[in-house]
Amino acid sequence: MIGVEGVGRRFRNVHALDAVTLEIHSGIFGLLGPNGAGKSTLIRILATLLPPTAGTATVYGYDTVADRIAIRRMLGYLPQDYGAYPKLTGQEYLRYVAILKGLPRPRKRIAELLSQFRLVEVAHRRVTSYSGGMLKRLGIAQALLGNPKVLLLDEPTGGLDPEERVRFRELLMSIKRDRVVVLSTHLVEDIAVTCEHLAVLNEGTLRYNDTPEGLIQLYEGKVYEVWVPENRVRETLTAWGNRVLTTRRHAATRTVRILGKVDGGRPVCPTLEDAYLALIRS
Amino acid sequence: MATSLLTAVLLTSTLRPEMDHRQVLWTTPVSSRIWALATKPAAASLVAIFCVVLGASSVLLHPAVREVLVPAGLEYVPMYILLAWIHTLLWAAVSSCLFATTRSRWMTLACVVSLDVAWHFLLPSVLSLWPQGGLVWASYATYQFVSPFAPFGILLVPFLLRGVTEAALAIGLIGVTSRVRARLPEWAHVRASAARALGIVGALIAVAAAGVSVWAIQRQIAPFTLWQLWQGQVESDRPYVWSNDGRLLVFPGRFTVVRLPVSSPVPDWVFGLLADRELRRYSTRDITVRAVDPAFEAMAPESSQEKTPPFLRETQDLVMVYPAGRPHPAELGGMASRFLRQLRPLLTRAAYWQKAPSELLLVGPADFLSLETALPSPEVLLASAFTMSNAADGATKWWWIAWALAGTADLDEQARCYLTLFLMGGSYESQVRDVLAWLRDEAEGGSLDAEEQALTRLTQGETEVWVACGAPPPLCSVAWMNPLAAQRVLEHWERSEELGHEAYIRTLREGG
Repeated sequence: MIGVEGVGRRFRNVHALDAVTLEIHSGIFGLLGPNGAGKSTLIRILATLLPPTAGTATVYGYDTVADRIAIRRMLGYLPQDYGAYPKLTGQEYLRYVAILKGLPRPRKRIAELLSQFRLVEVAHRRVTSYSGGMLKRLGIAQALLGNPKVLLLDEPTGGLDPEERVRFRELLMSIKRDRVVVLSTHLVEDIAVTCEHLAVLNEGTLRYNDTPEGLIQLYEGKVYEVWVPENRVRETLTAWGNRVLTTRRHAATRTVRILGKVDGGRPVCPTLEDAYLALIRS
Repeated sequence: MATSLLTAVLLTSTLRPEMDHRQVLWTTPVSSRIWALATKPAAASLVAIFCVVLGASSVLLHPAVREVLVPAGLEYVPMYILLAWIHTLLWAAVSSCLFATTRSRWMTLACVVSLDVAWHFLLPSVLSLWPQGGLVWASYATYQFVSPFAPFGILLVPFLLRGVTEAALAIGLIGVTSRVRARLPEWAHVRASAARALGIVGALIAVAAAGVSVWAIQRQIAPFTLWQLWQGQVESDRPYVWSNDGRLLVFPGRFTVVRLPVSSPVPDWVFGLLADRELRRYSTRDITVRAVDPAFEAMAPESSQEKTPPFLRETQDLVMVYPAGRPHPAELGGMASRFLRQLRPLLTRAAYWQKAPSELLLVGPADFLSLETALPSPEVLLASAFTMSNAADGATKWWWIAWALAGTADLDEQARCYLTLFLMGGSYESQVRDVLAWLRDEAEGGSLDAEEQALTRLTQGETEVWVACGAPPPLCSVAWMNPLAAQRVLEHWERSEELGHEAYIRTLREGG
């Protein structure tokens, strides 16, 4: 469905992406990585907004540079820094995007999306009065206009409260059928709940490309948990440096998860977050 | 200023959200289609039409000029809309380029205002450093010579090439904007070569058009000053529009007017203009030959002998060549008849010493005739379109016209003042009463006392003291700070009231 072959992108002297190769099939595919890892750059290349400086990327066989228009016909895209026209109402804005996508008679679909994303009550309010969550939902609704075969979502849960984030994940699960959904995020939880496959990017390079379970398996037996009294947390964390993966606060102690064996530590089954952090720090 | 700011405000209000929304926009299939790309020029067109309609509406709302929708004629409306569109498009291109560079709405607006201020105020100052630069500015950078007499401006080539220059600049700026916007990845796919070509072609056409315009203007500037022509030192061998010191010599067009020293031969090239047109020559006495613009004062040659005085009181002949049987543009018919209607009471009273004029002949532009001498001839009314329109202050204008009509009686200045009061008495009785009160005050030395008091205040340390004449300008020139003259005017008035105006004026004319 989506093929990325040795794709690189350079901005002046900065390599944002370096020889990334991966394949994405239907379902939800997670792109995970810290800020500046190159996730948005890869998404923008797939969205035909940015030509790669090396390699090729194809969507359903169409080249992202040579066949931009063909790809755009099957594309829904929610950018990271999404902004809508503030003077338009939500409904007018969706109608506008429908025109841009060349959709004939979009009225029914717009009504469905407004209902699906709980925007019916605010559909006639100007976008400028929307909360961050509403705006995000509107952004996803516009991406879904025209039932695109490829949905590119760049940090879609940023700015959503926990309840909305849960709803969004449910929504994502409901729309994944018969389409490719690429979800770029730095929140492991989003990936853990929704994605069948994921790729981890760090500093422009591909560090992992397989299932979430596979990533967890990579670090089984390598993650240890230690109970540390609250008054010794600082010196302990300093001593272990970047081997520390996660910490959790309890009453007067903290549990600290460490990559690699430590004195007093017991081996635990790693979570996806542990595995991801271990991968990034290794 | 209003057009540029309005365009910039409207454009940036759409560019700002477009900037925020650009990624979604450019991932849609129709974003690069021609009709989608044409939305900005279409929006600029709407702004241009809005500006034109707004301007026309203000004219329509003015009761005095409502009957003349477009003084130059309705057939020129499409041309003016086209030029307004190009002008608005240029400001849209400027705003767009500035916004792409600064990515800030407020910075763009500030830059647009600064550019407009520089265009209107700084550029003329810089140009005035160059001999004749002010003239080039006046001809090229403004449309001020567009009038009912010259719908395409005083010079056709710069008038039309200004539109070409602006369009080319807009095209060039669109190219530059494309290059600047390509800094953002979403616009990076815009072909650099195409944008560069657009920028270069636009700049080249703009420079060429501006160059040809300047050349065309320079060709119309005579190698001599007005003073040299008046002194008979040179002859005009072809129709130069301006003298070397910026005085208008010929107003070309359907209604051509040529300014000549009194009794000098009509140049041969004037006869070449005739075809199916008539030629008439009028002597307009005691004319004040003024510069078109004060900025031209600096344009005269350095030699003081060559320099024309800023105000040259001379007599002149106006040679007019105009379509047979049409003493003024048809579009001004309504304005002319209204003017004559307003003039009638004055003419009725002026009939005591002159027979009624048979014809109204309009002259444009106002530079040829001052208000003072707008109506000099007993058989033909010569009136500039400016005098006729309500552009000048209404009452002051009519005092000047009455003063000019009174001048045709060939009496002394005090009698002329009396006749002016008599003429104005028919239509502006309360103003005449005020002027008589002022004359009584002047006769008792009122202004002299006021001046004395002002001088005293100055010696007591006041830095600003105003001493001004409280009467209409033509009467001020005779009776202000001159108690004897004021007394004499009052005597004329009082005697005429005893004898009756008609009898008294006859007595005056007979030298009684």
